[in-house]
Amino acid sequence: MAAARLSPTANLLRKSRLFAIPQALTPPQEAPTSRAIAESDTATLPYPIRASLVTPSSSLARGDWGLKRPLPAKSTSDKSSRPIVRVLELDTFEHTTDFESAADHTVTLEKFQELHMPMSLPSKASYAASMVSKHVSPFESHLDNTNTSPGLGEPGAKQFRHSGPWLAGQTETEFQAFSKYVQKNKPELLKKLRESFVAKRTAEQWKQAQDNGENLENLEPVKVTDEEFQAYIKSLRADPLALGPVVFELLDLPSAPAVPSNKIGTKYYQSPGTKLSAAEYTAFGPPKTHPSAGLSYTRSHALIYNHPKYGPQAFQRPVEARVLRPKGRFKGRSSGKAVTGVGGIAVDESTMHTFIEKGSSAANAVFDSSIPGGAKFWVNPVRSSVDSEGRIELKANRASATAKAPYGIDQNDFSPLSISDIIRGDHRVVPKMDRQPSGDIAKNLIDSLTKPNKIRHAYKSRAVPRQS
Amino acid sequence: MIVRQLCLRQARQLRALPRQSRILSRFSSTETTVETAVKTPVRPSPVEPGTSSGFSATEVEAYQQKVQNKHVFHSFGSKVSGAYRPESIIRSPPKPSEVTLELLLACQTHLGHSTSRWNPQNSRYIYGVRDGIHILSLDLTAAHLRRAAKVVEEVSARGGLVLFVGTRKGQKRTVVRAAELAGAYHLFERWIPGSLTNGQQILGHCEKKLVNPFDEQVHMWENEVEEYPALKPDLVVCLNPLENEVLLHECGLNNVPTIGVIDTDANPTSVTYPIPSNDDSLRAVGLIAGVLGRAGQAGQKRRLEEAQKGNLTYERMAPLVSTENVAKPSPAHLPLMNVSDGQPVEAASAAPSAVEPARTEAVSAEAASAELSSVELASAEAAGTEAASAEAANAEPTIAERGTDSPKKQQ
Repeated sequence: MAAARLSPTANLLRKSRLFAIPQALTPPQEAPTSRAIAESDTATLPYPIRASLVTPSSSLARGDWGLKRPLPAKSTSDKSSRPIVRVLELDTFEHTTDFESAADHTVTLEKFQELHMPMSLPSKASYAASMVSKHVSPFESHLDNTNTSPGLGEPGAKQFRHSGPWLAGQTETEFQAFSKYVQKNKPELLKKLRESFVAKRTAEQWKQAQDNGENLENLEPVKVTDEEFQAYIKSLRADPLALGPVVFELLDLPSAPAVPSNKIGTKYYQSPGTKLSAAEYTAFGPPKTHPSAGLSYTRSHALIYNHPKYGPQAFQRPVEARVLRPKGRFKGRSSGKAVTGVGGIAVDESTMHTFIEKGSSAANAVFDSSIPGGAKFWVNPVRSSVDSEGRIELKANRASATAKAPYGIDQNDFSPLSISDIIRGDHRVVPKMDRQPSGDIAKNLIDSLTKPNKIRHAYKSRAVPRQS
Repeated sequence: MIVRQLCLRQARQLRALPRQSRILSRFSSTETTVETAVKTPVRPSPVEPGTSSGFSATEVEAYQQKVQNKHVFHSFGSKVSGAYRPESIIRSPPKPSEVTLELLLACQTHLGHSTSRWNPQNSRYIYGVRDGIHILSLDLTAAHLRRAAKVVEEVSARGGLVLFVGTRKGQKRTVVRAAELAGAYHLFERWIPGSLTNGQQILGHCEKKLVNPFDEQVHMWENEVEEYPALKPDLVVCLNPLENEVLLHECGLNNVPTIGVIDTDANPTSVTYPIPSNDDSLRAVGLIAGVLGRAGQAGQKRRLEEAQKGNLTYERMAPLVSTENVAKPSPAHLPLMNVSDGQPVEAASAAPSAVEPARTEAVSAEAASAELSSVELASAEAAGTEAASAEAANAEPTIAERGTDSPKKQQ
């Protein structure tokens, strides 16, 4: 036992919290393209790669985060009421601890969990059907398997992970390294192949005996000679269509994407049918994480809010979505799609079934600079999944009046039919961005100086009328 | 030439050209905005349920009942014990015997500097590398800390002057508290170079005082004490040796032993007794200073106990003037004296409370200088070097010179 021989110091260090912080994941790779990629270095990554750290308030007041040195208050406790950091380096040559705020991912996760969404397996958005693709939880016992799970033996069981690499996503170097690894392990692989050959022959013998009506108990175990095995290998080599499935089985590789149509007539190494839990994974590779990515552990979306006055509600409480990019030209490119943000997650408009509410959102159509904080509208998230790259894919419907009504949500949402005068362009007045209700300045000032708390409360409780 | 085709090609190229997007006409304002005055609404002040004068008797009674209930209910429930309280490391630091590896680990003493910053002389203290930093061995930290604590304790027990130095930001309270516990001196601002090597010029004018074994000031030989050379510490505890290279160098020149917190980038030979530890974490430094302060406290206690029994833990001081001029002390006890610089004491002195008035029999001299220097040094070199007999009836009245126990606040 290696653990028993550890010195007390080593044991302590091993169990310390700082050493228990997991190693950073590799950041998402850039697409292998010759085109210039205009991406910000400081942009929030699609998934977190480092652990988020928090500290109790008594230690926070002293800047003590359990690290090499106290972190400065200016960028932690002075900046945020609930600072969360991620440490990039414990100590650098410049005698500093390299850290940054981890609120981006942490708060996004909290907001996501407030949506009460279960995670689904990824599925392609169907443009034709008005229905969102069916929710399939990755936690179903016949889907939630790795290559070592015992449940894999059951009929119809799928898995989300293979031990072998996804060849279609490998670079040339990675593939060379993998083929070298395979060559090195040739004896074991041949042994494994021989076992599978014996199993195959046994099954054939069994079948034959069954067809002939023989007594199955009297069957002798199959013995394969070296010559037979060599002949089997030779036959496989001659026939790529037969060799493909054997190789994929032997190396436990995820099945390859569909063969392009111009190759269909030719001979190729055919891959067996996919064992992965979602069809999306065949095209884009097996998932990097568990398909739920740990975002939510609920299996079903079938929870119903029982309104005290109106009874059970079909819809969850709608959430506000922010228009990140309106439709049409953007930065000189006419990509066309609108992008909205729901709970910190960017939602493509193509996944938003806007036709449920008659007419598309006016907020998505044009950029309206007259709205403080940007245009927002209410949506009902319906489906969330994590794709092969680890990005969250959220699908949301525009909240209908029925969905909004019981929750007392502002009905004065964007009307799909009318847009503000400012957008029309004939209005030649620069809109005022800091909009405030009219009133007496001096009185207000005195109020706010004398009774700050009450005023703040009054501000909160008061609904500010929208300026038309 | 087919003009139509040319146009088509041109048009394609034109379309591909990067053009500025259309500037909306509304941005080119031609009118003046009418509603320019920013006005905030007048809100009627919210109705207050009751003003200070408007509470009814029942309301007051209910409130008082609530307060009383709160007091009663507070005694119920579970007691939280064993919780980490950051303040306790300063208020009540652990004794050297209470230092465990777990405590050292929790105080981040094992985190060294970036591997590219290391001093290879520290390789004996380094346990390994993790996440780009060196990890110091907790065992060695504990061993060296205990050894340093012994040094501080013995120096204090022999009446030596100890100086705690921590000049980094945030170390002030730690240093002051450690000095307060150990009855020592502290320095949390810049060390004035030459305070040891050129001490007579820099600190010569500072106030000194003569104390007896019970740390009480004695008023005798006032002129002589005033002319006494500037005092030097017997031990310097430096919490950040990297920033105090000059101090440590001067200590080396003057044979003053030093204890230092050595991180992986510091030179361990710059101090006499290194303690390998993280010197950036306030918690780690607080623990080390606190432990050393506790050790000093134990030493002082021992010295005073010995003094109560009539034993001296240090050599007697030679009389500063001829013995004929000295007022006769009480025959029953040893009149022992110390010289220390007598600047105003702000921190509590650990010693005098244990002293009985009957025994406090000595003369003291006090320098009149009221000027407060930024550096206090207590005598080290001169302390206890001379011993002479200032006769008394039965026992030899020995005059020893040593530092005061009273820590002084630096101005």
